[in-house]
Amino acid sequence: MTTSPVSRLFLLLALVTGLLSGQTADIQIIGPWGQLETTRIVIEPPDDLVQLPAPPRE
Amino acid sequence: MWFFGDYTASQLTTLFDGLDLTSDQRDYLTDKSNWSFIPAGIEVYARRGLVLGLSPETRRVLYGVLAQFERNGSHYGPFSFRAEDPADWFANSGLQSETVARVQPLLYRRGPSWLFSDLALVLPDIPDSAERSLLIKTLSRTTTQLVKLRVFPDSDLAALTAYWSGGSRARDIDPLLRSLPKIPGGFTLDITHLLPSFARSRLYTYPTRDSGDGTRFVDCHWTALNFNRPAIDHRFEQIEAVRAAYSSEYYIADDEPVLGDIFLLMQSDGSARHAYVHIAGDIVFTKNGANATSPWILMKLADLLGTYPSDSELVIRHLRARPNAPPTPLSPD
Repeated sequence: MTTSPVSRLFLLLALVTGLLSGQTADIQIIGPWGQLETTRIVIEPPDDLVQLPAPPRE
Repeated sequence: MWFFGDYTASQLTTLFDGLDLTSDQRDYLTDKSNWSFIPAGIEVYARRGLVLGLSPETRRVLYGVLAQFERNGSHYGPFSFRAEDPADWFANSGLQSETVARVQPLLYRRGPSWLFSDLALVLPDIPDSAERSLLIKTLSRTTTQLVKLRVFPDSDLAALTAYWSGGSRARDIDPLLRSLPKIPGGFTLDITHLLPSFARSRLYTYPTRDSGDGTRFVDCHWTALNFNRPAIDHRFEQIEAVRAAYSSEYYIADDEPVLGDIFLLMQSDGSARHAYVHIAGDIVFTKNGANATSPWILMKLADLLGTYPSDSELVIRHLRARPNAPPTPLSPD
């Protein structure tokens, strides 16, 4: 994957923005796609997908 | 059983000699009567007590080797969770402290994530079925990203539409994007609304066992190849059709990635270990594995790459759909 000067500039902007904001949850990523804000979340599968592959030991 | 593909006895002995093992562990693992020589390599019968007693560093190094071989299913595709503190994996899970105490010493670190491969060793010690289900549910937790686009009154709408339409969906996206700058102060829009219908309807969800579209085997390739298609192409449940599509409908790009480009993580043997779809910046759309407990998610690329062993030589291949690409040939059946 190549990284052009333009791309490096966008990554630098994102890094600086993230550091200056002091936030860990939201980071701004700026580029031709606009300005993005990200928030990390955790999801877990619904109960019907949870398998029980082994019985308890006797 | 641990599988070491194409290993010689000398190589395997060297590997074990380089690990931080107790004398008992070393004696057992280097005893060739505990090995099986098979055409594809060497299998080692790993006793339960030995596996449970590995030091964290030895587990990390050894499991990193085992992760190179698909036959070692729980090491090739371990449970993983991105966190600094492993306790975060179990936070507010409702698991009993005894259960967490059984699992936590068996976690190992790779990049930004904690991994777990020893479910089969732990489950038999948990007598309550509800607790076992809760453990699997907790281990299946996935970190993902909510991603929002800020649209301001002075935003370049033509540029935004050009990027997010992927060159073909401007008619669908333009009305929504044009409405946003009229809101005083601009608006923050979840990018789910800007993705093709395939991703829009699946993001942050899990496959269903009997889904309405009849899908049976949905993995990273099925996901990547269907990302830009208006209707599900079930042929991509077959690896032969996947290979045919990559070679006939895509070309290798060497410029800046755009929405919908596919990236393949290629192994040294020429096989593709994983595929993901570029969204924007360092955000990718991915389904990490064919199992039903793997959802469709957005990830930061560094987080995704960090889940693969650093000592495996993965080469990233950047693919883009050919204009007017011929459809994948229909399989005979």
